[in-house]
Amino acid sequence: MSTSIEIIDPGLLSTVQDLGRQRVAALGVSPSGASDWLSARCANRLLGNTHNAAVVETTMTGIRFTPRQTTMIAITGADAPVSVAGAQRPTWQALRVRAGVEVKIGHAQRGVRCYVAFHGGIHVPLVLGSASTDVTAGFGGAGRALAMGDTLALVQVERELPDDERAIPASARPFWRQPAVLRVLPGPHIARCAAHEIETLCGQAYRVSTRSNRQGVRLEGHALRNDAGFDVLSSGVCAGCVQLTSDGLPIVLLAEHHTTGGYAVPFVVIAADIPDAAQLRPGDSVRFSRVTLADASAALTEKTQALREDFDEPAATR
Amino acid sequence: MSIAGDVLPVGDAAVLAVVGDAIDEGTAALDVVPAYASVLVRFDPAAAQLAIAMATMRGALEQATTGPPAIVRHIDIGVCFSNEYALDLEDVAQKTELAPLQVIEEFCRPIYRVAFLGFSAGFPYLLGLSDKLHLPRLPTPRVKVPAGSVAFAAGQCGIYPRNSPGGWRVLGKTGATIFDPAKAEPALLHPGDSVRFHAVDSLDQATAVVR
Repeated sequence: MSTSIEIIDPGLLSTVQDLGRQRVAALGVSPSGASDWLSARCANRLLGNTHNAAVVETTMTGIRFTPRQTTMIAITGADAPVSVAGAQRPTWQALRVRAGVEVKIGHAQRGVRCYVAFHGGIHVPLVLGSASTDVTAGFGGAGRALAMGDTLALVQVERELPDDERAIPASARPFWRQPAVLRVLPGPHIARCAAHEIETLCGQAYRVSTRSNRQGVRLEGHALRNDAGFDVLSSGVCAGCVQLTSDGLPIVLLAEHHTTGGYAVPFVVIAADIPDAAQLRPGDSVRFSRVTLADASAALTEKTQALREDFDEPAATR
Repeated sequence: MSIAGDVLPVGDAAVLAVVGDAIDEGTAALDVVPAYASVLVRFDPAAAQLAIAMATMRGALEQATTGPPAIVRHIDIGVCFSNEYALDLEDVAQKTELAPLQVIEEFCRPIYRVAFLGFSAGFPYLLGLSDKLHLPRLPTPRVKVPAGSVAFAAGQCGIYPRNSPGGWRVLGKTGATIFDPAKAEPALLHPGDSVRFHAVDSLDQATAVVR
């Protein structure tokens, strides 16, 4: 019999996500997918799932759910209290959950989005090649945000449930600092900005706006003023693009971004730091820091180290 | 004729080739995003390097040629301009100093060309709008533009595939399905297609015919 999960309370916004849709942007379709791709991959890694297995992404207020059959789960991402059948349990660790007990992720203390992976991964019909929910377009995943009473089937796998509750070492988890630092490389329109404008962009700590969502993180702070404006001929964009809107303030694009944009992109957040951008909460302080391509490459190698290591070390021995 | 273009970095995980529309997709490419005068290629930075991606794109640009697309499809789209769907028709008429019927006539006159799909799934950016209908975007975007709305702004024209926020001026509505992710061919319109609108009396007559 296949395993399924019942959603008791989806919180503010919980969606099914994998690593997103590829090769459909030419149709105007957003890649969507897990905003913090690294946490999603870590959660799957802990359970021995494929790296693209579908997980649940929660927002700020967590989620409550109950597996109908005994299974293994792993929760990563934002720093939030987790309880299983009322007892507190750790995140960034594989957890065995008995049939019928309630798993609760509480309010995130730091960060925004938690990722819940299940043994085998969530089974939903693929839309345009992906399990990801595109909330804006209204397809993928469960076809919408998860709702109370929804049931998610899990992919049936041959392998046994692992019995060790392995964990990702603390050194490989996010460390939360204020102000957060997003490392950036030049974007296609950096030439549109004068030196003093680049200084303004990189020299200040911005505040994260409450108008941020899966499409992007809006920042508030000292606005750039440019009589010519920052509009460009619409061109393709990707997650990490720092767009300068007409009010002179930046938006950092996240997974569910529009495929094209008409705002200048002076900088792009490096791939390794997109997970950090995805975990910025309204009110957080954030700075941009210019780095080199070699720095970006080293950062990606460093951040993905946990995905390459073997976790044969059970949590109990740590 | 070959294309004079430029290839620009987009952080460490994408490159933007400016000008051109005939690019070979490399195996490391995760996605290719054509727009008015550029093509963005997104790749996995763990599998490919920016410098190599840029060199590949430069090579592709040098070999690319301009010319009309090999196959041009023509799509006729019926639009119902009755009051309940023509949210901005009166206002557009006033601002352009045309009668509402003249606005509709002016809007249906050109043969539009699909430049690219963007903004939202299946949303076509159409070129060819009459000079008489050049108005900027609405000062305050609508929170909800109904699905099927045919709208224009800033020299561009488009059709909203589903209910969404939007700042373009809505003249009418079509009943044609603009985007259906379950179909083998999800988008009604593709870059390069030519499109003509015609007025119909009711929404159920407002369908699309591909010729």
